[in-house]
Amino acid sequence: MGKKIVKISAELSELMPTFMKNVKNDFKSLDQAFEEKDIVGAQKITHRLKGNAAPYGFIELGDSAKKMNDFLREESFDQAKEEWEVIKDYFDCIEIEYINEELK
Amino acid sequence: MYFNDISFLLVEDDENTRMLMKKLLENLGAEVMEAAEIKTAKDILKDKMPDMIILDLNYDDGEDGYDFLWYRNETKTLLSVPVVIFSADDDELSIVRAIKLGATDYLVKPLQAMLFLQKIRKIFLKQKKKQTDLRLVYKKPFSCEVVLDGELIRFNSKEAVFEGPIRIDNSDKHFILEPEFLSGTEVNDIVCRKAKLARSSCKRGHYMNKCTFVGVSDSVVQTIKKIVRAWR
Repeated sequence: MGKKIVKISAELSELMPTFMKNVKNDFKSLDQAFEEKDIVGAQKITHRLKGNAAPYGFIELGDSAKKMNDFLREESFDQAKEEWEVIKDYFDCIEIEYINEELK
Repeated sequence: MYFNDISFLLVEDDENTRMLMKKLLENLGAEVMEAAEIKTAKDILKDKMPDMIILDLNYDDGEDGYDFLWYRNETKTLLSVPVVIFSADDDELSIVRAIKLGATDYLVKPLQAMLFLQKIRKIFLKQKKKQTDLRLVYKKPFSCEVVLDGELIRFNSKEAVFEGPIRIDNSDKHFILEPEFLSGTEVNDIVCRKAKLARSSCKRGHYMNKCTFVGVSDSVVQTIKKIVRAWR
């Protein structure tokens, strides 16, 4: 998969290292939760990502977290895991480009 | 849009959301305090009272946002501080539950910067207007009697001002000064027209924010302020 450019407001540049660190931790925990079939744990993490990814400009991640969260609530674990594999691959290929744009 | 001199307490366990809200509010001049859990929020509130609390509902450990709303209902000093829920829970049950527990408003995540700031500003101004309306009720001097520590004190109509929490009692006729040990502090001289204005701004039996009473002598103001300070 080629690089995916994510355009983010330059206003967020100083927050981005902490954001990325937290997201990576969440990804690690989510991987583990899916491996251990820990639905409650996975729900908590996807709930968090659903709320915080889009405001930083990661719209796809936010949408995907919402989908996973909905699947997990319906106890469709396999579908949630499938979604997780897609977004994980996507996130591995992203590259951030800061743009001079106000936060919307 | 600006938030100069307005203080917020952000109660949010997700660091990413918390730091983004903080940045947005501080950029517009707000003073921001942060708590990652309910317990920390309670500790902060013992020392400092913000102008508004922005509260997440779900926490991994310990108490949740609903617990905080219960706590707020039992803590008189907190009742005058608006609490805005900011949660990813967008179901009707969560919203109704939070509002029934006294939340001022409910905003749903994800955070959209401009929309979030505009809504917070709007909620803040609405709350401020409510308080201003209440102050208007007491613009004209009046006289009344207060039993303070067993001593009957007559309030005269001098141009002194006392600020303290008030409650409208169930009969709708009396405004009662709080704290409770000022019981018997019934202000009887408010005419119905003015009482109506106050009622439209708050619910019966609820405590309201600071209210300006005109017509209280300086010495009484000092005595009551001293007691209220101790109570807080």
